[in-house]
Amino acid sequence: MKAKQKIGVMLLGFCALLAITVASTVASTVASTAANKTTSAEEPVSITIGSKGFTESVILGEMLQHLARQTGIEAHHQRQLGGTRVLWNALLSGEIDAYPEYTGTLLQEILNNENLQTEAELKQALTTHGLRMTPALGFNNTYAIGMKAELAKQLKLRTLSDLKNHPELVLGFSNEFMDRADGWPGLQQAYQLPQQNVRGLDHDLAYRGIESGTLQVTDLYTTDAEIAYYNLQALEDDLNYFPVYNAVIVYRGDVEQRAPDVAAMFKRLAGRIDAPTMSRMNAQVKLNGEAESAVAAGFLKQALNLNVDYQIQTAWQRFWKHTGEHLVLVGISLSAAIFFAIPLGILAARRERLGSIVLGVAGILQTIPSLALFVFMIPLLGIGGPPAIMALFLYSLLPIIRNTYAGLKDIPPAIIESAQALGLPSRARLRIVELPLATRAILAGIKTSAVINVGTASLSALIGAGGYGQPILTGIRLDDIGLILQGAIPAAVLALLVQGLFELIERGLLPKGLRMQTSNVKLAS
Amino acid sequence: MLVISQVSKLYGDVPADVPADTLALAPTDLQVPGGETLVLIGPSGCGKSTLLRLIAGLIQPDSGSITFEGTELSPENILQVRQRMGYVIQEGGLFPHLSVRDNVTVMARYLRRDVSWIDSRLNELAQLTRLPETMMNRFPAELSGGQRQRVSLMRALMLDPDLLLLDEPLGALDPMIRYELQQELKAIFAQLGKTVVMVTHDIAEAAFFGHTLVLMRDGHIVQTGPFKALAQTPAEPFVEQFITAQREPMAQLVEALK
Repeated sequence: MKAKQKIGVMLLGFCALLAITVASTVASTVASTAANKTTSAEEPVSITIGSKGFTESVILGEMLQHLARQTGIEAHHQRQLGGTRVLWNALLSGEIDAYPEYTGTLLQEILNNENLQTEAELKQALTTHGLRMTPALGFNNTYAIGMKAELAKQLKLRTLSDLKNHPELVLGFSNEFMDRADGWPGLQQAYQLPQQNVRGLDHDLAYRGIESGTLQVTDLYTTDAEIAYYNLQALEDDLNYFPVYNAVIVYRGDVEQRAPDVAAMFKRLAGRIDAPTMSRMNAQVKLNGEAESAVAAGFLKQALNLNVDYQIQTAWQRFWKHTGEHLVLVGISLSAAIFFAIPLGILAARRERLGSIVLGVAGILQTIPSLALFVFMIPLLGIGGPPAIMALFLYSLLPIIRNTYAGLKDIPPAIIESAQALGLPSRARLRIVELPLATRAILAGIKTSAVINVGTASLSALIGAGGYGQPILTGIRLDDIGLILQGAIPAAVLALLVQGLFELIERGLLPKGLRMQTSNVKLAS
Repeated sequence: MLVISQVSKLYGDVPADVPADTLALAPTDLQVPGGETLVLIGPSGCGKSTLLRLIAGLIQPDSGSITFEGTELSPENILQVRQRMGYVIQEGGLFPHLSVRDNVTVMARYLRRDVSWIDSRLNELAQLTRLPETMMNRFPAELSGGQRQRVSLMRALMLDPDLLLLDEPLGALDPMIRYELQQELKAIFAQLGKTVVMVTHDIAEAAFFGHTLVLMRDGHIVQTGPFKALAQTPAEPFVEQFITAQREPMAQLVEALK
């Protein structure tokens, strides 16, 4: 009797835990959406800055955060939010208020359908979207195509047109450049380039590829610190293919009403950052390992004579912050998945036709590449925690549904029949006989989901939800193995801990009679 | 009294023009008077288990009706009626995650019967089936095949049902245990005076238990009656074949030794 009481208590505790986490998810989601909507005059004004996933953008983002705080309001910086589209959509929907952008990108990529020619036209077009743009900051960070200077000399390459004569070269471009209208597709057409071996990869990794010799040619941002560091040569754009990419700050029009001082502050950057200055700041971060926040503050002191208070978190502070974020992502999404997937698995086992639909849909969800699933959630739920939790939740469903289904289906028919013949109603049969017999399979499913979830949650950083993915992303950007490990090791340890935890739970929950026989219920995983 | 009237069953989807011989069970009539033991016997696939499962309400008939003690079985009342039936299958069908005690008392506890009543009933049944008290907290995996069938019988008898349905209850046991349990079971049936419907393919076992034997083939009843009637006045050559096929080899072996 005692053993059963213990199981009962554990089950009860587990259910209570589930109920609490689900309730808190709902509450926090409601609260956060409410907060998003009511940034009215009475509320304390707060500004959210976004930045793209490369160092220059992060430095400028830090700078904007410092500037906004100078006016006495609260400001947040959602670092390295992924690509241009993510930021643009977040800006339109009001999830961020401002981010650093380049005129060339706005003209050629974002608003390319509007056929704009001049910066005045661009400004006008932004206004129709409810957006504003500061005057140019002072540097043109255009794309360039570059390679090792020695190799260029050896092959007698000077201009982009010269590339035509060397189809054997391996080209590696940043992922965004591969797809952008003003990137590789246009470039290849403009110069009639013959190279077939072209691959997309992270911009910061491309430099390592060049250094190691696996790539010969890559796209450069002209203010990148690595150009000098790796002794690269930019090939001359002899057909003037690349447009001008003047750095500007784009921000929402309502910032001028909500926080007029902030808009004024942003404009103070106009014309103040020239290309060598930006290049130097990039080098300070990427080559000297200084914090973006410190570099941005140093510039503001020097150029605008602003004294910025900032705190740089210690490694431990960051670790606990990321751990907290990661646990929240995993805890909420996994609890919700358990809460919904077990009933769905039961439904699937009870009703064959409905079951095949449920399993099919969950199976399709699982085949969506995890990165894509995260990005799909952005139009529905914006950026940050909620879309990441939703993506992780959807991703965690299938193993639990499938194992619940299989666990119930694998119960020998004789046992089901005996339970029916006793006169137990369907619901009582499920509770007294079928679910206990499926326990092992269901727990195995939850365990699989949990481990997948912990790993996949690292991608959440790409859409601004933080977690252990944050140091990994930053580490990739800064080419800093130590930083990558600061995210990768805890993520792996957490996965192991979660696995161990579920083994303990299994020991407590698995009925004693089932532990004696090796396996009555086959495990499906 | 159990009355089966024009009951038929076809497995799978039913096309309109089914030839009668593909039915799992052709329309069948049968009556079991209270207190009697009726044995369904026949070769594999003859429909004897199908008929038993129809009586237990585990499958629904395509036509006809089954009436038990004046109540016609329907999906609505089947849960109530089952509480007055006990069901034992070949491997016992015990719940592996529950102890012997919990297996036997599961339904009584579900119905919230008085705890002291449950305990005394459990002791009574343990004595009746001669299961040692020490077995009560064991799990099915820790029991022998014979012990499992004793527990299965206890579970079937727990709520003192009017009807016992047994599907090859001794089929998986070795001959010595089987013989011992046959003797005990028959004594228990006699003592309790229950109506029993049993399925077996062993003619000796059928003859040993059954007041009435129902020999079936291909979903049809071939002959109904006491063993004596089947043996002495077979309705078809098949009846004689079926009986001799099981008796002859042993008889020949014994003859050869003389």
